[in-house]
Formats: sequence, structure tokens, C-alpha cells
Amino acid sequence: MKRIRIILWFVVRNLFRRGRVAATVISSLGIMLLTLIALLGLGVLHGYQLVERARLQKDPLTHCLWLGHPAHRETWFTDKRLAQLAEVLKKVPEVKEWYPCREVRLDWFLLSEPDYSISLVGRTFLPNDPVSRVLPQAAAAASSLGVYVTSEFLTTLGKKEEDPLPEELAFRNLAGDLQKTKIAGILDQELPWRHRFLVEEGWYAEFVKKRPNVQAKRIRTGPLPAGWPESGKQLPEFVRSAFSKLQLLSPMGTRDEEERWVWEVRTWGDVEYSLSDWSERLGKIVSLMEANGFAITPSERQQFLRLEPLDISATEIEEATPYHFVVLYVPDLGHLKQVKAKLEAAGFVVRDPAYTIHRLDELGKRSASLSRVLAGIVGLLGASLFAMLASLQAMRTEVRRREIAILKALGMSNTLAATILLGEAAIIWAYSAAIGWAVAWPLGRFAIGPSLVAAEKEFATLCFVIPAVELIGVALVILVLSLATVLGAAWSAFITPPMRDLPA
Amino acid sequence: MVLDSGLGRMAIAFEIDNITCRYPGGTVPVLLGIKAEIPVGARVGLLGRSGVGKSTLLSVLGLLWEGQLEEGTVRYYPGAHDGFVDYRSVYDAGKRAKIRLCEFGFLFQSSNLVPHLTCAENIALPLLLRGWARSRWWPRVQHLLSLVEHTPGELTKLADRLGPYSGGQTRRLALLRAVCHNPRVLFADEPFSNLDSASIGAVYRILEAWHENRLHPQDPPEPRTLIVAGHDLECLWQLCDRFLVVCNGGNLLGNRVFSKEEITFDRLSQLIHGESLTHDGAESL
Repeated sequence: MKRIRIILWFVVRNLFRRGRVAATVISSLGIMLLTLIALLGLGVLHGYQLVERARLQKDPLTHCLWLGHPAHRETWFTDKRLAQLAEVLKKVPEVKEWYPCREVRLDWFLLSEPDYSISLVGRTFLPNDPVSRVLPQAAAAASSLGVYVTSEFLTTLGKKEEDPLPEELAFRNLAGDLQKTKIAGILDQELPWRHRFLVEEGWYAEFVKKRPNVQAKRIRTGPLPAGWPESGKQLPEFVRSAFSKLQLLSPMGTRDEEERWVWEVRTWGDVEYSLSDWSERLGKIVSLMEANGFAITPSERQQFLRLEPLDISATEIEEATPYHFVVLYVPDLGHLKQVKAKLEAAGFVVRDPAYTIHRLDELGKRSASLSRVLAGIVGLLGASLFAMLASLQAMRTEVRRREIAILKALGMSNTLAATILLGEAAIIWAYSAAIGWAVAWPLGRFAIGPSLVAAEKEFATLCFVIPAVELIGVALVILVLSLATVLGAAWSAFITPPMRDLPA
Repeated sequence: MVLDSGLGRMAIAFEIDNITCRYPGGTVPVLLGIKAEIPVGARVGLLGRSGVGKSTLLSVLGLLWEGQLEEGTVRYYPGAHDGFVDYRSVYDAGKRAKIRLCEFGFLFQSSNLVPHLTCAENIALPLLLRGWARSRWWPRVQHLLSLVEHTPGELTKLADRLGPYSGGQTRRLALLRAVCHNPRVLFADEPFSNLDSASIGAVYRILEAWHENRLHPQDPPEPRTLIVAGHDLECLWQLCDRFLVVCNGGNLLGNRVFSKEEITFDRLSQLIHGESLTHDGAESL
């Protein structure tokens, strides 16, 4: 304790002595500058990463992994597979929660304008869907999806371009009931990716297919089965209930000009897949239709089924596992790739989100190159400052050699003399780094960060964030540089002999 | 150790045992085969012409000589029961510094005040190095300053100020620094040179008071040894009771310390200023 008091007394007294102010200020400015640049660089770099991640994070779907068969076969996630998945996930702690999910489709069949039928499918989620919990508005948005209409469609309704967009649209659903729905927007605008919609063949289909985020695929066309109800009329009850049980979209269609039906089966993405599963289910429907008096020719049957229909009992239909996919909630986006790899190694197919992982990889690469540039700048600056401070310190030691010799003659030990010099450096380092930090924070937070990292208003606070680990790293680097500059001086003080006051 | 000097048996402070040393790289020894014993409580005047090695001998005795002694040794006896310190075996710089801090006081020829410290801090340096708080050393320094003032307030007003000081003030401050921690041994190099009579009187008073344990009455009385190197024989004759005369080559005259009863003022004066000093001359005393 006494020794610390002695060291402190001499350190403080020396720092504020006459004639030392300039040297102290220059040392302090050097360290402050280095702190400032290092912190500003790190803060902006980290801010850039955070903003990019926040953008990804904002979309609740990006931090969820979607497992399922690439062909979107509904029965793929059987109970057995779910149990297998549960076992695998015990060894993947990065996955916080997981849920088997199914898709509920919102189909709107616009009957008010039979020539331009549009069916929209929105993906909604089960109540325990983590996505809904992450971003509650996602669920609200999903449940309140309206329809997208084209400007041409509005024109047919007698609307002009300058007229405001109607908020609601009245139509009849498949059951023939009059319903109202919101108009979500005009189809000329780019649709969010999660929307899938179907159009019948014709010029409008061609128009829609050209849109960048739309995938429409014709699966089958053929004559209308005998006994099929007229357009706009209610489907037989048995068909609707069969489709409902099988979680299938009701077959839809209108007569075209040639009185031919257009059959469309939705595809998901670009994946080409076997229709066996569909065929299996369609087979059941065909059987039901035949049982109810519809005449179906063998060629029609072949077109429906593609494969021989299976004899599936009603019990089996009930037992079919209706899960379409499993959502894994991975809170940390950085773990997505790792989790994906683990699950794929376990034999599961990860359908999404490839884009998020790609973006994260890109982000990592870009940040790494920025980090290298920053490290280069800080390194060069540090080296110059080191040289400057070292020469300054050497000059100061020469000046102080006589003073140290006097103190040693009076009884100051070599260790104490060296410790005092080190203590001075440590104090200069500490307050310079503190001032550097105090300047860097508001400067980066309010000026430099937002000007270099473009971000939405909600992410404004992320433009400049200094992470703790890097902060400690910077502090250590600067401390080592400061100590290195003073080590020579401390050694010189250590070996300075006591004053003998002898004639030369 | 006990010295039989003819004045009765007395304890010794320093036993100089045939030491020889030279400057690093030097060819001629600056001290050559010196032997002497300095009694505890003595006031020893170290006399000799310039360049004969008086200051070097002070450095060696004060453990300021960092080089190795070529031959011989010095033994310092801190107290009656504390054993002794053999200078040849004290290699550790820290230990030497501790002995200097705890046992010795130094008054350098050129005073050597630390320019960036205030008057009071300069005086209190030995106390600061011992870890004294300001509340302890400040009253002591104030008291000491008042003892050497020519006019009231001359130095006490300067206590919290930085230099520069006049030559006399500087010497008095350096003296106060040498005695403020009440050392057992005080080494003074030319304490009276270039001083006016008033300052000489002040220096004399302080040294006397320190030696007689009157300077710090709160400290337990102990015999204190003063070793003064100088040219001013009158002052030294008045101050000291024993004398070492250093001759050419750093030899001590007769390798012994003379008491006032053994040598006269005139003879000392002759030895320093007039005659060539030889061992033969010493034998003829």
C-alpha cells in the first residue's frame, strides 16, 4: 500500500509538472487519435453488419429453417419422421424451437369477372408458429390478405387510372356466397415472394408469367369431364369435402372460349417433381366422381392419374399426416448455415432460406475485407504513432536522467524508478483512451455511422455500435503500443546510476 | 566493532579496509589501498586537494559508487547490535538504495534539487520515498525551513513554489533535504563553498543541531556520524572533531583518522595547502 502511494505520488506529480505539458499533450493526442480511428472504424464496420443483419432479421422468415420435401409432398412429414427429427434436434442446440406446420390456403375465386379469374394463395401459419411470434404483424398480415388486382381488371370494372384504388372487392366464393375482401394492391407492383397465385391459360397468364416473382405452370389441359357443373355453379358437395379432407386446393377452372377446361396444379418454385402423390389423391377424387355418376373415360382417367390409382380406404385418408413442413426457429442468423448442414447430414431436406444464408455469407465476406482494410489503416497509424511516441519518450528520458539519478541517490530503487515511468505511461494511456472513446462514441453514433451506413429509420441506432470484444482488443493493442514506447524509457531509468556529483 | 583510539574505546561506524577502486575504463586508481576507521558519532572532516579522491571516497562510503571495489572493502556498522554491512557483498541495487534511504543523508556539492518539485517537496523527498503522507511531512518541513531563514518568511513563503532559488537558498534547501529524515550518517560535499557568512552560519547550526539530536526531538536520540569533504579548513575545523587527510593517489595520510588532540590547525593547513603529502610526512606528525 505504501509502495503504491509512493508510485502514485510521483506519477501524478510528474504528469502535471511544468515543462512536461507539451510532451504529455502530444503523447495523449497520439493515443487519442489511434483510439478514435480504431473505434470509429470498428463501430461503423459493426454497424454495417448489424444493419444488414437487422434487415434480414426484420423478415421473420429469414431466421427460420424450413424443412420439407422439395416436391412439397404433404405426407412426407409422417409421425415417424417427426420423431426422427426430434432426436436429431436434441443435438442441435442452436435451434430454439421447432414446429410442424401446414399451409392453409386462401383461395379467392373472382366470379364477378369470369374472364379474368385470379386465385391467390397466401401462406398462413399455425397459431404456434414462431414466425408469428417473432413478428406479430406477419400473422395479422397473413390473415388479412386481400387480393391483388390488375389495372386491366380495374379498367373492366369501369375504373380509370386516376381513380383511387378501391379498398374492397365484392365477389362470390366457391360456395357461391357473396364475400368482400380487401384489395391488397395492384398486381403491376411486385408481389411479396410468399404469394402464389394461379391464373388460367390465356393472355393474362402470359402477362403474369413475365413478372419476375411469379411462377405459373400449366400442368394439364383437357376436355371437361362429363357431368362437370357449369361455370359459376357450386361443385358437388362430395368433391368439396374430399378436397377439404385431403388439404387440397379445390379444382378450379372456367370454360375457355373453346369450352375446354383448364387444369392447373400449383408448383412451388422451380422444382420439377413426380405427380405420384397428387395422382394418388386425384385418384380418390376420380373414384368419388365415378361413384356419384360422373362418366370418366379411361384416357381421361389416365390424364388425371398418370399412375394407376391406388386403392386407398377412407381410414387411410384420415390417417394421412397433414404436415407439409417443419419450421425450425434459429434465433441467431449466424447459426443458420451450421444448422442447415447438421440437418442435411441427418437426411432432412432444408428448403429455405437459401437466400438468407447466401446473404450472410456475402456479408461475412464483405465485412472481412473491410476489416482487413481497417486493420491496415490502424496498423499503419499505430506504427507511425509508435515511432513518434517512442522518440518523444526517449527525449523525455534523456531530460529526466539527472532527476532520476538524484532520486536514486536519495534512496529510490531501480524498480521504483522504472515503475513510475510505466505508471505515467499507463495513466496517459488510460485518460487518452477514455477521451478518445468519449469523442468516438457521439461522433460515430450521430455523424459518421449514419453517413456511411445507409439504414432505415428503425435501424438508425445500429449504424454505429462498438462491440465489447473488439473494444477490449483495441484497448489491449493501444496499451501494448503505449507500453512498448515507454519500456525503453523505463529500462533507461532502471539502469541510470545514482547521482554521485563527482567532477567529470 | 570497538575502536581503541587512545581517547577510550569507542564503537566505529565505518571500517575502510584497504580499498582500491578506479573509474570504469580508467588506468589510474582513484582510491588506492585506503585503510581507516570512523567512529560512531564522529564529525569527520575529509581534507585534501582537489582531485585527490575526497568525493570518490564519499561516494564509496555512501554506497553511491556503482562500480565494483577492486580490492578491500568497507564495512558499515548501523548500530551496536545490528551487525555490519559489507560493501563488497551488497550487490543488489535495491538493497543499496534502501540503506541509502534509511541510514544516510547526502548534501551534494551542487545541491541537485529537482527543478519541477516545489521547495517543500524537494526537502521532503527522503520522506516521500518512505511513503510519508503530506500531513506528516509538511509540518516537519515548515519547521526546518523556519530554522534556516535569514529573515522571517524568507523560505517558508517559498514552500509551495517552484524554483529558481538563490545559491544560498539552494544550499540550505539541499541541507534540509539531507537531514529531514534524521539519518544516522550524513555525507556533505563542500557544504560551505560559495556561501555568505549568514548561510554558513545556518548550515553550521543545522548540522550541529542534527548531530546533537536537537533537530528532530521527537525521534529517539542516537549517535550520528557526519562526514564532510571540503577545502575550507576554518569551517571544517570549527565543525569537525576528527580529520582524514587524503593525499595523492587517494591514500589517507597515515591511514588513520586524526583527532583534534593529535593534529593542529596549522599542521593541517600546511598539509593541505603547502607541503606535498607523503606517508613519510604523516609519520613525522
